Amino acid sequence: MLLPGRSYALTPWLATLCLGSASLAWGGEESALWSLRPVIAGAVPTVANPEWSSGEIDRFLLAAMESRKVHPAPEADRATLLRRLTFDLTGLPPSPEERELFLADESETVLEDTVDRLLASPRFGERWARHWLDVARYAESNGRARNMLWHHAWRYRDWVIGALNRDLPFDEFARLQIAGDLLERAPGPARDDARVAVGFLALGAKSLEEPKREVFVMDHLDEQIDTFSRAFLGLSVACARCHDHKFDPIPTRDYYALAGIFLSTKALYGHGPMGISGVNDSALQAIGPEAARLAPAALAHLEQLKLKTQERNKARSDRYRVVRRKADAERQLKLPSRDDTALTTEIGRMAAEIADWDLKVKALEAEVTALETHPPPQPAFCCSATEASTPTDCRLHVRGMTGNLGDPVPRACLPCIPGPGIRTIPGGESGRRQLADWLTDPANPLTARVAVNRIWSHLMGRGLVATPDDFGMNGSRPSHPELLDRLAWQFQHEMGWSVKRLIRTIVLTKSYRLSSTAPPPPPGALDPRLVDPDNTLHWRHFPRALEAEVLRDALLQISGELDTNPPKPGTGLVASLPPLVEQEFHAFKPAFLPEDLEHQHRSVYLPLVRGELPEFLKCFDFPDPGLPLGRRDETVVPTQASFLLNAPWVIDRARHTARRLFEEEPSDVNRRLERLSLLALGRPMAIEERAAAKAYLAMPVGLAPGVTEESLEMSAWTSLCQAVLAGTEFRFLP
Amino acid sequence: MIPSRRQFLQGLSTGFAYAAFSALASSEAQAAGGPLAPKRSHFPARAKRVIFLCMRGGPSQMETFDYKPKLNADNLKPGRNPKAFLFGSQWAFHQQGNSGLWVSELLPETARHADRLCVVRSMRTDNENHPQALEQLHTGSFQFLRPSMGSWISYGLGTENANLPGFIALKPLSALGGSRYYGSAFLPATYRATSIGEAGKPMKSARIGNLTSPRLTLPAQRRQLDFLQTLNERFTEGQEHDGRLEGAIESYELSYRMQAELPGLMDLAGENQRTLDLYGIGQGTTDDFGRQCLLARRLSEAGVRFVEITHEDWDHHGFVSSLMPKACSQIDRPIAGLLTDLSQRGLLEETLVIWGGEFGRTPDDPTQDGRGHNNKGYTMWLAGAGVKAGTAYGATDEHGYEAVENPVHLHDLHATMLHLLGLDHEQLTFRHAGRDFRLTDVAGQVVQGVLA
Repeated sequence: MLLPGRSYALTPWLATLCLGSASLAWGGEESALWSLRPVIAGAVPTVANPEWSSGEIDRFLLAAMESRKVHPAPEADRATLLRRLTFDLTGLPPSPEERELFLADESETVLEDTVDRLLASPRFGERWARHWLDVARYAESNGRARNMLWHHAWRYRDWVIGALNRDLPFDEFARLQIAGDLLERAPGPARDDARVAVGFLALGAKSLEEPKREVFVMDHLDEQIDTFSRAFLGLSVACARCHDHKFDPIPTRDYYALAGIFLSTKALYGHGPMGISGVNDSALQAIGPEAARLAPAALAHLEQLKLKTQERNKARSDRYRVVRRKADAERQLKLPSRDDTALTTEIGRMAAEIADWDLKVKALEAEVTALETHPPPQPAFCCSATEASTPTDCRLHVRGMTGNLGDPVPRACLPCIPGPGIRTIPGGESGRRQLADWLTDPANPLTARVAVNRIWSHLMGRGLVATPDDFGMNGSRPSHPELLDRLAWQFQHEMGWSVKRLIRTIVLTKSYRLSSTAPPPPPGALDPRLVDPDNTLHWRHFPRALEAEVLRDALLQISGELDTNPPKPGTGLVASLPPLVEQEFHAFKPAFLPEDLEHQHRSVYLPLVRGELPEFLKCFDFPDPGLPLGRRDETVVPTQASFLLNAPWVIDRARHTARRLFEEEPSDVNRRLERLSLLALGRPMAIEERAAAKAYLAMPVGLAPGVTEESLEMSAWTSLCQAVLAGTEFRFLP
Repeated sequence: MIPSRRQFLQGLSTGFAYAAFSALASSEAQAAGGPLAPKRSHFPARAKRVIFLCMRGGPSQMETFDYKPKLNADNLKPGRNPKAFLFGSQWAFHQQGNSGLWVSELLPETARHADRLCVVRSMRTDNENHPQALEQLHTGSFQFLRPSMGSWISYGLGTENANLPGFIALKPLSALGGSRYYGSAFLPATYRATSIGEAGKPMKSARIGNLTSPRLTLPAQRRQLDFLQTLNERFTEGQEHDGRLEGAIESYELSYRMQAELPGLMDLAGENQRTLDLYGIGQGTTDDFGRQCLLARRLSEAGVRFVEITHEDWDHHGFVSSLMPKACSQIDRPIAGLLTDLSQRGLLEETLVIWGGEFGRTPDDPTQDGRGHNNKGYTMWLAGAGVKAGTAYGATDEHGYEAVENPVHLHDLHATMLHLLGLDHEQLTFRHAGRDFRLTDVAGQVVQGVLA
């Protein structure tokens, strides 16, 4: 745990570390938490074997290996490397044609050229946006009890995709998501983009049904603080809501100072369930050229609809009250010794009253429907955030309770984090502008480290810090702290926060090219499998399971069905629902059939309703977007096998793959098998595999009773293709 | 702040326990092949598994197990709520069995099992809205996404049957945030519930998705699987040792075996008429819940750690006089049948049965035919393994507004359930986002008074 070559003061932190217990309170003068120390671009270490590589990253890794007498694995073969690169950068497998060109290209710059081609592809942004959308807990609905659908959330998703494709520098990327609405932007697309970006703050799951406004507000602030701090700082500041953070140096005061910033901000996510008064509504941000002209009428119409819906609901419940009273009276009538006449009269009167209510309810229902179905022309809307009318400091909530208020804490940007200094927040501002500056200040020790580590982990299989969302006391220590620091420093100072440059730098290292397998060590040498079984030194590449959306996209590409065009903006399942009809998910549920959740665009464009993920994604560890998540589970469970073997969707892809093979290779079985192997596995088929495949094709197909397919031959090939596509080689990337 | 000696020692002990436990969990998982492999409990267990009968909506305790003569006597008198009057129960209560436990006449068949029940009449929970209270009932928290108790238990104990998942939910609730009740949150996805059926749809037509091939006969599936495994093994040979690859190879076999075992378990055709009658299957009123109870018994018997079944209709703001008899008649015979069946098979002594909803109901009402939500005092009951049978624990005040004697918070119930399973609720932890989380958060005490 302790890093060699550093001196340590005996702080309680160190005591904690030595004693193996993590529950000690924080103390000490200087920051002993490694991630809060300044980022220092130290020297590149010297290595005993400089011929291995001249690259900086390689030398950091090699030096650590040499110190443990571990030899790195050899480089992966070129076809494996191309497959790795193409999946890592675009989320898709290379086509057999791309493979052939790559293998035939003998130029010295073939690798650089390939990386540049992949980075320039629009598929890059779609792939990498998904990484950030996990962290931003992006979804198109509120989730929780009142699962309101957010018709406009997709704009944030598309903004992230676009930002990555045009390589928006990461500091700007962060700044826009915290304070996009406050930054100087000329009216037009640039300003609209910034307003969409700050939607980041609005996309969390909220307890819209919470009747106590102050509870709702504090829970919502907490969600924003949690997402903000984990996404950008790798710290769970939210733990400090109720008490000083148990493990990390975050006092409760700092939590409420930050809470004041969000308390002075209005998140714009749209209205809550229609017709329920006192629900935790918010507005939306109108954008686009027509915003100023159309928004006032559209918003007034929405307000009218809300009131009318409330009126309708009240009429319905007033009517129901009489129905209940009447039923009660009728029950009493059945009891002996009741004054029948009076009761009968009363029942008659109530029947007439109900008939009256029926008319009123019907009329109101018609009015609501008219308002719902005939909205005035709508401007483009987006989820966003804006300044509250009166910025306010948040009062300290003793033990996190809304009923136990202390003094207001002046708004501030986490003074507990050393480096970027104290930002003065003028009385008339929320402080988000200052928070964005503070976050992207080069002296902030966390922002670049956390970002670099996230990018590293997606390429190398594990972060230099293995817990990408936790750089605190309970998170992992960095395996190569000097390397992380150097990369973080370069990311800010030399690469201009360019994500593409950083990715390019990492994938062009020799370390990235290592094979995931190594030959047995030569006699006398140490076996790295024994010295470093967890591969902390990165002596070999981490093989990985394809993520849910990558697996799905690859299946569609291999079957020849993938539509690489993004869907037309605003045509997603959620986005295209009628904008003003009751927007709660369960009202639409009958319309969300499994097939509605599927289309043939890339998976990043699938509808993401919290609690109702597309079946495919759910099955393969796609996170339910409730919490920010930098590292997904990687489970291997029988339900995945069942899905790949039995789900009609997968069988359909296998069938399309078989058809494609017959179209492309109509006559020759061997060529057809070869094509399948190249398409699905990116390599030629081995002789023994070919023999096994032919033997399998010769067996009876065994269709279940009642199943008919176009021909026995096509059925046999469908089964064969499915077996290849369901297999482990296709699911894992070595 | 300098930590006190007590804090220091506390930190040391929980830190150590966590390390020991997680080491145990991971080494066993590796040795025995997978996270669902059976694991050792912290101390000897009284119960091996749980059947949870979830009563969504909040059943009225005044009409079921919490006899309130004073409430009946004070019918129509003013209560605590200025807008409402006290509303006595319309149904008689009788003392039952040797224990003399009071049970309402609405549950005549369950009443015959009074000597098996441990009725906790002093339950408390933190929230009086359905979605949040249901979430707390399942996960311990109504604010944050947390793993369901079934997930915690299968994480802690694994499954007893390698062909089946550790946590199965029948007719899981889906409206109003339902999927959160059965999720594994930050625990590995293996531990989330496998669902059978859907809320609002008859159990009779429930199927598990993708369990069987829509296309190939069993022998043909085997042939396809053999070919697939040939490819898998060839690929695995060329790779470094990797538990996931071996796990994947095993998972195809498990999936194949599951389709051999689960459809059989779900098919009630093999049960004789006497058993079907015992659960009320085939009779309109009791068919749906009866099927769930019988299926719960079959899954539980086959080794599923946590089976949850659902009755959805207990939110009676009006028409208590007709809805309460209806709901009770739907569950009464099936529950009696379940207890009889478990006991006859010798399973009751190792199975913990839990009955209850997200909260209970108020003793007063403005309309005199409904009841509001009551999270301050309500009833749940336990039966089976390690439970003090034929007892009533705790009490509400004379009208039933709130628990006044031996209150049992939901956290305490969770702690007690884990205790019966041989798990210490403070040791069953999982590290996530820099913190060790538990089902009971930072609270919970084992209720000694309900233990046999």
